[in-house]
Amino acid sequence: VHPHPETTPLLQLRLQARPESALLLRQRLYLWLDELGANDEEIFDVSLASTEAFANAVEHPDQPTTDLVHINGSISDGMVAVTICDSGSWREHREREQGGYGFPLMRHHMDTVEVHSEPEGTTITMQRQLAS
Amino acid sequence: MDDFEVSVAIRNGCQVVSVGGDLDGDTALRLDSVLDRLAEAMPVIVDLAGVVMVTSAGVQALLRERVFGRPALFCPDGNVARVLAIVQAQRLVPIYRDLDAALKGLGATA
Repeated sequence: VHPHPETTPLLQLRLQARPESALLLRQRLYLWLDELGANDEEIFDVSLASTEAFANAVEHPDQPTTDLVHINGSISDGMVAVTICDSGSWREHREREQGGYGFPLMRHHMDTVEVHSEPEGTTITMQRQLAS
Repeated sequence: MDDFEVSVAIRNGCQVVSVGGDLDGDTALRLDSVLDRLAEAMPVIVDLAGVVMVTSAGVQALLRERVFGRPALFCPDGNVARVLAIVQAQRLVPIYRDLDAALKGLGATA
């Protein structure tokens, strides 16, 4: 069943930029994705990728202007999009991408992962096509 | 608020560290403090059967070198096993799908 555009649920969250907020992020994502009809593996994958993106938003910003991270979720034609925005610039995100498992896990679990860095903030946009 | 758990038991001459809940950047610190307290002389296996979610920070904690070396992992098939495969954890540590077989193998080499 194709959801009517006006009734397509959106996810909008503002979370404190602290590691312990990641649990709340996953709980909210679970409820949202479950409502969209995502299966367990899809919920796990999107939650893991979003947690990794959130961890970057907590760790990387230089001189953030607020300590809030904005998370937006949307769905269109079965394609789930999650954006995670912080309010600081990353010093060397390409360098950071080479170390650690975070970006490889995000790229593996999502169909697309894009990082858009501006002086006033960095946005990670990720998409995943749901099977159903 | 979170339901993360970590406990240690001795079985068959092995130190078995059982982990439950979400192993992420927040809770990995609690796993670190347990693994860093373990004895050097006895093999260590981390039982991941109760883990729901593991993130990159959790993987790093599992694969970090400790005084006893790196722990072996027991992880049944599922989402957590998929993450371990993606990061190729098996290149660094043995990963078992059967806890009894793991205990026999590790205990025998102790």
